Amino acid sequence: MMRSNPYVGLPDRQFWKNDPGIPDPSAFDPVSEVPFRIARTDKVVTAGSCFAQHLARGLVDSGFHHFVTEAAHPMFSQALAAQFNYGAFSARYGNVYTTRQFLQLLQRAYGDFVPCETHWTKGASRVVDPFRPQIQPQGFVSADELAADRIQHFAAIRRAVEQCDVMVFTLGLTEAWEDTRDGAIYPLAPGVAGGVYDPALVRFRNFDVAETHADLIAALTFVRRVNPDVRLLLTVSPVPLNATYEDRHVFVATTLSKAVLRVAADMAAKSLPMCAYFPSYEIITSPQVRGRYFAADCRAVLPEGVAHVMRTFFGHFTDEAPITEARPAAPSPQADHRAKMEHLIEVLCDEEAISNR
Amino acid sequence: MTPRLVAIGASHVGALDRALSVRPRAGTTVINLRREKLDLLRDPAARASVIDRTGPVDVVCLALAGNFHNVLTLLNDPQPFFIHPAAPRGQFIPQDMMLAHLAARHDFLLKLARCIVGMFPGARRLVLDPPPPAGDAAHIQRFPGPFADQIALGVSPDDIRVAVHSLQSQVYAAHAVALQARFLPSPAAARDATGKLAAGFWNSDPTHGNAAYGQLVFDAIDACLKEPA
Repeated sequence: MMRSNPYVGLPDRQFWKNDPGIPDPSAFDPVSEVPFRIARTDKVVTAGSCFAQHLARGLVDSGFHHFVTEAAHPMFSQALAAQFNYGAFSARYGNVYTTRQFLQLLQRAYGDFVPCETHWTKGASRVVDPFRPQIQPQGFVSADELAADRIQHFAAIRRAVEQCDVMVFTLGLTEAWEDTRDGAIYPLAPGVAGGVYDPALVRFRNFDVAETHADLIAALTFVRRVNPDVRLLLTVSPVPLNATYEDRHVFVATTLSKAVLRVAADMAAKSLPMCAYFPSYEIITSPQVRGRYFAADCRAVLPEGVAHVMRTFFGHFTDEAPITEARPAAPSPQADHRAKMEHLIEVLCDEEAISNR
Repeated sequence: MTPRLVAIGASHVGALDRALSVRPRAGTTVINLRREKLDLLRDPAARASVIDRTGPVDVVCLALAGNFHNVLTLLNDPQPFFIHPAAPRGQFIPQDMMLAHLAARHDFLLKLARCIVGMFPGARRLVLDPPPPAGDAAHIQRFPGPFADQIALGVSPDDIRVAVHSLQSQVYAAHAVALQARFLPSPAAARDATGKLAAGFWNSDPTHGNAAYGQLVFDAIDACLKEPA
């Protein structure tokens, strides 16, 4: 039987007025079919802008396997590890804002790109990594120390890429600063968190759709080359730009940036197999939720918004219910070793006291 | 006039005690809180007994704790690590992170230190650097103390032992600043080329200094006291 028009019989989700999120924002669910599922045992790598940290934390809190290949040594407390940015992402790369930065991160980890800039100075005696200038609260004590850390960092990135089952990449920005000598992309302009701003050495870039898409495809193809079975999940950060270097209002710059990222993510998800787009951006910014997921600064995403995102994510991408109760960490042999050493030192000091009088 | 001096601490004051037994010093009292089971922080009677014993003093020297570096690096950790500038071996740890860890683990000492210096108002204050890593594999095998069952792990390489002790010294130096005290580094003459405690200053255990080391510390104290406060 012929339909009277092509829209007849289409699912409710394709019609604005039928969306259950209009009367009940918590029911807003913009996800359609997804091409794969994620099991609790799957090793999930996270990278991208700051919103990706929410996803990483959500995975951990729900009992899924956030695959961290550059963890802090077990002697350290979780609080100290967090202070030094261990565990925020799978490796200690900090925020990866642009697709060009993501591509270059992979190329650097595999030795395919060696930028001419190795470090920036910070204050009188410290240095920072130009590619993750805020990874340590006070920077590194020397260029040699940074170099030692970078060797470990790159090895961790390679392990993450090669061994993961799922890679989640959150596209964050299109604006960046580029080294005029070799095209290296810095996440922050020199001078913001180390280094010296020299207009002859860096220039502002605002990547367009073609560039963003090409870099994203190149990066994801790179990942697939070393890990052919990896499932790819793309998201766009809903967090507005903190600042723009373009001479226009920061919100206008934000809408352009997010539009470019959204298009690039969609094109990649459509063209690559086992690659999905997850609409966390839409969940936070949709009219259905009426702005309630943004904090008073109209920028930070509130925990309620993150919870909505994660609830939707688990509802579609997993067949297993999230674990919400706290699970005690299993004692490690290393922790046992240090506890034993501490006890033995106490015993030694007691014996030393006894033997000398 | 010889200044009246009290040195208060835990097992590392043992080296000072040993030095006194070889060469007594007038007006010097060494108090080992651990041996004498004195809880100065919580027990007013303990504080009163110490003040009674020493009488008024001109100088108070603190040698509190000091062996946490040995917890981390006396023997090889099952998950090996290194900090710059030690040679790469296992997991790299940023110096700042290790320093923050050591600082957190020594935080509790400041309260006790403030309590002690408060018992001797007007006295000059010195914070003594705990001795650098002592012993080598042979010495520690010979005098394992309570570590006999752990020796199989192997003694950590010198460079990581010295590097972690050096960071621990920074923590004690920061405590000295907080206490308006002078930080007294462990005497350079007691160190070998690697920065460890030289063999002639090892006590018959894996971590402490002997009488000769204690004497060098007294010499350093005396030299320090000749300088303006």
